[in-house]
Amino acid sequence: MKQFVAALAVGLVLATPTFAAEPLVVYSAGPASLSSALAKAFEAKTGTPVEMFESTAGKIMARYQAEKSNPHADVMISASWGHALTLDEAGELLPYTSPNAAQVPAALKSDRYVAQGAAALSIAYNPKSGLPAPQHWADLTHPSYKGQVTMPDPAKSGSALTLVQGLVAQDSANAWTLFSQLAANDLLVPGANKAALNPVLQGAKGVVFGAVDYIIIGAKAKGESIEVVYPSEGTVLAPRPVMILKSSRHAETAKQFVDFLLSDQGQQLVAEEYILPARTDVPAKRPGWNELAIIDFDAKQAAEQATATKAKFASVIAK
Amino acid sequence: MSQLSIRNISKRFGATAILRDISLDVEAGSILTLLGPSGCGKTTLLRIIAGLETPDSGYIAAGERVFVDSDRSLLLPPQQRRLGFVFQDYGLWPHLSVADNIAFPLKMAKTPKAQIKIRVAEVLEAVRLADHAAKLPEKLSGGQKQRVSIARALAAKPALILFDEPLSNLDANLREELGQEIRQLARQFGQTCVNVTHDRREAQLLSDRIVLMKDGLCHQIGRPEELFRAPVDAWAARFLDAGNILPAQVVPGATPGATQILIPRSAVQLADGSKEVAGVTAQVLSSLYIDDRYEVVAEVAGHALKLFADRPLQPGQHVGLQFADAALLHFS
Amino acid sequence: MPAATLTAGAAWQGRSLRPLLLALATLLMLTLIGLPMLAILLYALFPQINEWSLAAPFSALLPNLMDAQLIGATLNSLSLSLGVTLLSCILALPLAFRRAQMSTRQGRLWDALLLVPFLIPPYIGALSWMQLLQVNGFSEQLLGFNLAGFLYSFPGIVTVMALHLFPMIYFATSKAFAVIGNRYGDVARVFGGSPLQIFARIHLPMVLPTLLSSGLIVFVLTIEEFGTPEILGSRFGFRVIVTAIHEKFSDWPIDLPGASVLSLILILLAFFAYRLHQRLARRFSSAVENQSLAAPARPVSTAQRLIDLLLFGSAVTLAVLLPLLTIGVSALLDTLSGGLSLDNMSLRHLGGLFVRDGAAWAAISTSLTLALLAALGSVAIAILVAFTVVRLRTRGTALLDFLSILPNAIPGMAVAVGLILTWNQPFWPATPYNTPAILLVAYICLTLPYPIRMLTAALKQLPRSLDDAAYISGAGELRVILRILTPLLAPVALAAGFIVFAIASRELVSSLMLAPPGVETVATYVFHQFDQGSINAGMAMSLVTILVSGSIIVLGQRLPGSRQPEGKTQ
Repeated sequence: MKQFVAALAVGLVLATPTFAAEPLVVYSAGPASLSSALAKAFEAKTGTPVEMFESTAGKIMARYQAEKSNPHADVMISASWGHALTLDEAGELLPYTSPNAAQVPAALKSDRYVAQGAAALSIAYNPKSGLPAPQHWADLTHPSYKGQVTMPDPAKSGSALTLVQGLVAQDSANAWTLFSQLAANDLLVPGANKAALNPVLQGAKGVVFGAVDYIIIGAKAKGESIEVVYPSEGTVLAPRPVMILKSSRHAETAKQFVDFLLSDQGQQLVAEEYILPARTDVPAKRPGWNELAIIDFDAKQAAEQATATKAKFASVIAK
Repeated sequence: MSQLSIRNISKRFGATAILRDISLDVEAGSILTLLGPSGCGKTTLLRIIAGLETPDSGYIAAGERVFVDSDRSLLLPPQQRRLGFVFQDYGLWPHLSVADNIAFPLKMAKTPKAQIKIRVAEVLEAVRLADHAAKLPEKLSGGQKQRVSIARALAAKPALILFDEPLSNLDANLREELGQEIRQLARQFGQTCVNVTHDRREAQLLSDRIVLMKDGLCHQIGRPEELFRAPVDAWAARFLDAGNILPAQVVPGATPGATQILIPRSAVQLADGSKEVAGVTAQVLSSLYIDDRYEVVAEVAGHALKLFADRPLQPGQHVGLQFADAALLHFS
Repeated sequence: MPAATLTAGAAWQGRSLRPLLLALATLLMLTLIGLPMLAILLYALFPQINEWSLAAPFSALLPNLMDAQLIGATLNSLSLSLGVTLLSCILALPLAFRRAQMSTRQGRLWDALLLVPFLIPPYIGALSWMQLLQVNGFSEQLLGFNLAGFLYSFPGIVTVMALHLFPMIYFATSKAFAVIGNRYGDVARVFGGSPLQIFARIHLPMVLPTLLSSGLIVFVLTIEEFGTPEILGSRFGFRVIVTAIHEKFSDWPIDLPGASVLSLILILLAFFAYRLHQRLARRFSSAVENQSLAAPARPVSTAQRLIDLLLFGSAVTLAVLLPLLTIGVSALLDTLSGGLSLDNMSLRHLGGLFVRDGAAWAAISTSLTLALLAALGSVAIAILVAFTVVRLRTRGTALLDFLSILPNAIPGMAVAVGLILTWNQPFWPATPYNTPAILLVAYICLTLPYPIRMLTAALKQLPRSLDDAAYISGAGELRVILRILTPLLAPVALAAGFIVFAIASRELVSSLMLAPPGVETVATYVFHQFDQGSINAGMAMSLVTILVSGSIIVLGQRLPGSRQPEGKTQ
């Protein structure tokens, strides 16, 4: 037991933020810098400290699920709209409509969850690759891109799944033809978003089909040789849902936090990360709401068919 | 006065009985040897005395101190028995110096530091290793290691020292020398000892009394000369190598009913040919000069016979042999 | 016969510490490993156990086991593990054999270098191989060729993983070779054996038990590893069970019961591997005589020295230098797309570690503190468990032995879920969960197999008379462990401690899941850098961590405990 006592001692030494008020526990996926900036700003504004658990969307959900017998999280910010749909269906979300959500488009909010912001799915290409600049999704089926295109796997990336769902919802036959032609053009589907992007940055490949745009814009700002293209025929958004959990023991603070996320200040912090702020009246530091052609489709219905969609995608690509 | 009492010790490993109801006494200040072939239970008995093995039942006490009493469910752990033990493979701790090895039992007994120093020097002196105190065991020869092991066993003045084949890892000359030394030390310190060996020479070197063990039983107990002169049966005689064993029918004048006869080597004489005595004719197989006489192996009716002669014989040569009747033992 | 016999209970009444030690070892193992494993098992059987409900029992089993791709993934897992284990043996054996013949100084240098792979997180290692060998990778930019075809193939992935894991076998077998020493080989040489024959006929069979037990670790580690199969395997559609498990953990929908079901398959595979190992080990075990330990070292000829240099040099180049250089160069590149050119060189990422509120250094110090404590804790527990398993040999020690390999067989994600299920319960009066202590618990749980394997093997080589002599001298069990066995096992314990330290200092998967809010470790820091597309910043952090942990290990090797002459302890 010596180890255990020692372990506890370390625990106490390492985790000694002194808590004035009961902290709000937030599980957040996505840019760590955004999460910590939000936590700091909220604490400065309200005096309530925020305990921010940052991980991937999958892992915050896994942690939440595993903790169910003794929940800790008050608010979750996921990178995957599907999470909100799932938890909502299970009745685990606390109904709340923030007064600040008035300027959020209807598609990005409900009575129980609301988007903090959204990424748009895009084509990202490396100008150093010597490939022609692509304009449309279908351009990438052209022989000049043979063996040069990557795409995140819809089974591992929620945003890639949304793109597949959106394109299929727009024109099912057309979309599946597109994917099978991409497959014939030696499309590489190496894993999650980063696995698709890195080979393009490193020059092993040339183009990403379905890149999360704010990451590309951020990389370009840091000097990477990469360009983002929004096909005019339409793309999809990958909104980041904010949810208050029914199990929250700090519901009022949680509501305050959601209000803060959707306040001018909270939305500006979102914009800093090149993410599209959910409120249409907050200026984006990237192509904004009026510059994007968004495919409108029923996310809920698509979610019900997600397993079938992923399976079909896998079989089309495997050919 | 008996220093160690063993009563009705039994031990089984699964279906095999290793020790069957053994009872023994060891006199204070004497050396008792448990002698027997492998598997006879001698080592198990020694380890039971030490507390390294647990008997199924029985009673062991050293003086007033009871080690084991199955009637009272009493079992003293080895660390509380205050014994010494000399291992066949020395059991020296390689990370401790010779002096630290020897000091260990004293430290465990919470002896004051100054006394430890004195006692370590004393036993080191006794085993003639005073110059090696600071060395690590790996720097010592086998004989030296075993002497360190003995010094360690002596250090805390235990009531009893147990020896587990202490000489068998050493070469012949060293064996004799160290055997003598152990006896001398035991006498010097009035030390009671129990020794285990499968080697009759080692037993002869080290014992006041010998317990010959067979199949978990005490087969014969006695002083060394008693055992070697009068083994109880042909098995004991053969194991002790007490002499030549011949079937009764080839020995003239054998007692009726006897099947085997033990003929000590010294009881065999070369017939000088002049006298008409009952004897046998033998053919010489080999004749070697050892120590100060000739050791001759001869064949009698298909059986090898060993004898001592004062002159060399030729292999192949036929000789007449006669036996000193009084020395012969008849086994039925 | 007296009526009374000493029953098992009465038999131990004098040695009261023994049942206590067994109980303590069992308690520790059950708490650290047994409970989380049980939680995973229960989760697989009762998909709503996370809400303390036994509803819908077994409903997760069939749908997950009926997955058509599962058989292929299982076969892939098995063939990958076998391939990596075999190649690791082939790589490790000659090195270990030669290592046992070397001088202490020289040997130490190679040992230190071959510890480096433990410090490199598998996913960083795989990424660096990609960066090195892919189309337009470093090798193509510098030398004009790429090995992408090889890298993204079964042999490629086996090679990358074996280069990362073979030191595990190297360290274990070189110790075994040292124990055997030269004397048996000398005997064989006298009888006319050629060096190769002697190696194959004399030395190899004698180290086989060690080879098998370290091979078992490599086998289960490969089965469990996620990073490399995910990064390299997904490039050519190579699915293994762990990638299937991770899909259940990944974006959407989360399926923890399903992941637990698949983890059961891994537990089963590990169990069969363990049993097979036991049978083989029993068949090939041979006792090394203890008496004549001092095997004179033979002078090494210049030719042999050159061969050794070549052998170790190429192993170190492949397993250590190339990955490290790639990581180092990546850390110095300003942009990923800029490629290898002087004007793309920048200290921005390395410098960046010193800003951002000192978060990087906080992460490094958190990781190093935890790793140090994990090393101390694991080794202490392992000494206790090894003593229990090897010296007490009572019933129940086989369970301890098997428990001790389980954490290697299960993906860190599943272990993390098991730990949450175990420790996030209101009924515990105190819990490490939601404090950094949970990371320590996780690291000890995940790393315990290494010190337990290594110390158990080492303890088996220590003659029992050393313990017996101490008992008879009046020492109790605790003293025997602390004053006799621990100093004798110190070199092995130290080596095991380094491995634990190295692995714990960079553990990613469970850290990402278990780190309490606001606490970052090196690995989560690197991961968040990667997550924001900043591979080079992540590489910079990895480089710094490898250097810092590496120097701590080098310093640790100068500890007095490790200074004992070789071979003496065994």
